[in-house]
Amino acid sequence: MKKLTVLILLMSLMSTACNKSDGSDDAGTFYDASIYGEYTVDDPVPTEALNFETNVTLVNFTDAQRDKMNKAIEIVKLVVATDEFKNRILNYTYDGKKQFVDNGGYTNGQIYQLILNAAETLQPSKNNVMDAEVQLYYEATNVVGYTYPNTKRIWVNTKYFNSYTPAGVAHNLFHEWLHKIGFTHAVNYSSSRDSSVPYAIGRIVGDIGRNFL
Amino acid sequence: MRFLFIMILSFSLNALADMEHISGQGSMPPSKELSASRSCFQEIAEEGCGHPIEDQEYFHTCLSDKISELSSNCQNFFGRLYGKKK
Repeated sequence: MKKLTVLILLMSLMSTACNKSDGSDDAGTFYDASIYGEYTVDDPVPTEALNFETNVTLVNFTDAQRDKMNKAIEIVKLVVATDEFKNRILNYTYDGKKQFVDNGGYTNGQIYQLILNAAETLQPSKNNVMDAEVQLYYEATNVVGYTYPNTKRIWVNTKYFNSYTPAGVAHNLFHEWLHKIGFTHAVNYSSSRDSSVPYAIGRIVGDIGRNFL
Repeated sequence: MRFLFIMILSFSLNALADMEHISGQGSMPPSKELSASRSCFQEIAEEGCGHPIEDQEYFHTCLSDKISELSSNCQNFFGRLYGKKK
């Protein structure tokens, strides 16, 4: 009984600690305001957007699932290279201001730059490459995908993956990858959560991705 | 006691995970929308620009040169997507 109490206490502390380290403060550790300028909608798409690359390892995929995920990954690259992606991020508005919720203190232009840098928290070089591992699993829940701060792996639920279009998969993949570069959102649903960086930009990727189906 | 332990374990794991819940993002666009985008990529490919999946930089340069030769629907489509103007 004593052991159990200690274990429960330990787990609760661990949970609190990890949530703290997963908070928006994390994104602040690799941003240097003196380096980044502000993009405007009049700027052409930067070279880093045209050259945005991906390095995604797939685990537990059948051939058909692999084809779909590879198509989704291509869609991510195609979307990042568009003006519409840049402009929708730069113009994103919440509560009457150009801002995202849970933005880690970054402006929309800085968030766009952080995406192009693609410096994951666990792989912090600014390599312009979306690095991730994706593993499929099945669970009869309403969770499309999830990840943890201490791993580069993203888990994607086949309950949704199997019926989604590649653009829908790209939406989810990008949402989860935005966690990998330090952005977070509220655990429980609220209308403001939809304007968090992972939810809002994931949705932008899905919307624009529909043009490439 | 075991039930309490499982409840706490499940709560702790959920708190640690960054999850995305369903938001209806996975459905196929209406066929009209799908055929409109596909026909615009077909039009620009026929102008010799290929598809952006093959070479982004070439595609962008070529699109800038050729956009005025596309149908007005496709000029609007690519204007929105790539910010190109006639």
